Amino acid sequence: MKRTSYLFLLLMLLVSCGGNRLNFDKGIIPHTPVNFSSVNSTYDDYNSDIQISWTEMNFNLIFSTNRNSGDNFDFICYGGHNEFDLIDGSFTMVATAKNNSLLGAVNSSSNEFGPFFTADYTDYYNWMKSGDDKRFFYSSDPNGDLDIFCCKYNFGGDVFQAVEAPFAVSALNTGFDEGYLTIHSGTETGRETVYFMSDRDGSFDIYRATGEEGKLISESTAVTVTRSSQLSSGADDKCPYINGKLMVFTSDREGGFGGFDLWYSVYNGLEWSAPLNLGEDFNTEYDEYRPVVVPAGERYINDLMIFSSNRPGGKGGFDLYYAGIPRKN
Amino acid sequence: MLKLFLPFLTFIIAANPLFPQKPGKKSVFGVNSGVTVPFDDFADKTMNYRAGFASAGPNIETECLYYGKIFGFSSSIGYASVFFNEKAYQTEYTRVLEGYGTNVVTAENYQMLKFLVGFTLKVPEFSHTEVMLLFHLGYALTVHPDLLVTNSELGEINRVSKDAAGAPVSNAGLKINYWLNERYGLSLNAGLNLTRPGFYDNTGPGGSFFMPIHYSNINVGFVMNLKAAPTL
Repeated sequence: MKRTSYLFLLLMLLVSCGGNRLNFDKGIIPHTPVNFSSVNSTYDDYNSDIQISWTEMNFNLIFSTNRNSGDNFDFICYGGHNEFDLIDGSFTMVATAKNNSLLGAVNSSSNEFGPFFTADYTDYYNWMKSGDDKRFFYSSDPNGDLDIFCCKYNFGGDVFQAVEAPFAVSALNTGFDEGYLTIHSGTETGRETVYFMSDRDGSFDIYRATGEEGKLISESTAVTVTRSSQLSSGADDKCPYINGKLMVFTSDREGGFGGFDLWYSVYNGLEWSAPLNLGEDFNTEYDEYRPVVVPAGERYINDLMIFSSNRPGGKGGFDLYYAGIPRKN
Repeated sequence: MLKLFLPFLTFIIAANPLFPQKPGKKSVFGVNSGVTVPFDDFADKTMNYRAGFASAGPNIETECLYYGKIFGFSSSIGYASVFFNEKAYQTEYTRVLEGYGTNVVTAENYQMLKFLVGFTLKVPEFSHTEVMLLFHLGYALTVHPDLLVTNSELGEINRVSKDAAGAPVSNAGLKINYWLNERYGLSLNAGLNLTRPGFYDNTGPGGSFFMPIHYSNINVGFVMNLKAAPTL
């Protein structure tokens, strides 16, 4: 009798355990842009950067908004959760506002735009001895024109903590507007290379800057700055952002769908390809602005792009959108 | 299921005094074939948990029965091939991916081989007709088909390699025999089959999965009474 009971229990376990057949081997971020409604407001919300842990399925998102004053742009931070259901194919990204002491050190009565987190790891910069400090680049206009600033911070226990007061990256700044710094790794050994936008030559163009050997760009005083003729046009070219060999930026050059559109270029190891429009799936006759592409790792087929747009159907003003973008690296 | 069989069971018990007949037992061999119709999650064609995207296919069964006036024993071996509905699967990918790219689904069929033993309850024969209930337990070997989904923009989306797995199976059925003479007859069978095998999925992060395989067979065939003397 006892043996029969055990056999019955075993049979019950056999038929009651186990998962279901998956319809997707890997995650797919939806190709059609989705309004990031849990972070957007009726004000302008744009200029984001995001740090995602794809294994933990959570993220920290920082972006500019004028929701606090209705006029002045400050950074705010959201923490959230992302998930792809391998059975029904749904992708969700939800977030709630969270405190961030780093932003307390960065936000001012001026406007803050173009956030950019660095990944200062020793395997990323094998020529430098990295400490625990990471760098947060952004642009602000305390003197009337946008300048690039840097604030070193620590991140631990899901808390951003500024380790010193922000400072202007003077080697890059002029009396014109500079902003939206992004790092291009692996181009010149021992020299940190960055791209940023500036209107120092009239219209907004994309510039390349190389730091001193063995020094970070934020510590270099002698910096080589050149306008990227391949990436720039006679129109306004703004907000470059590099993920591996892919650069995305916004431009109102000819060949778009109206207003500012999202464009991309691929680095072949020597130079950037001629920029291509990301297409009508992402661009509209309205403005698309400040694209950010985040590698989604081996668990996903495509990568995540976040950008802002004032297209109809949002909450008002500029809203943040997310979408999947084919891997181009 | 219980609701379906309880009235019939009551009918069998109540009908027995109404059909007095000669004592005698039958040893019957039968072969039948027909259509296998999946149901429940196995037939679900939306991307839900446990959806099987299975569509009707053919089956064949052989059976041996030994029964008296009411009670008897039976066993059967059956094979069924159930189509995987590639078009429905493709439509679901198009819906989920919002029309992005072109999806191509290639899939073979589900296949089930089952071995059953059990007992029968029947109404005493009337007008050359026997009506009986069959209750079986057994073992089923199920083959999950090779399954590949690709998208023109994203590449390979899903792959499940062909895998065979065994699991206990339960079966309940209704069988009607119409005897043309003492030895030969025609049969109409309807049965429900439930099994839940576990398969490997080497390309998915889950590694393995269980799939509820629920299907009904509706068959016609012939039966032969092995105890009756051959007639010319």
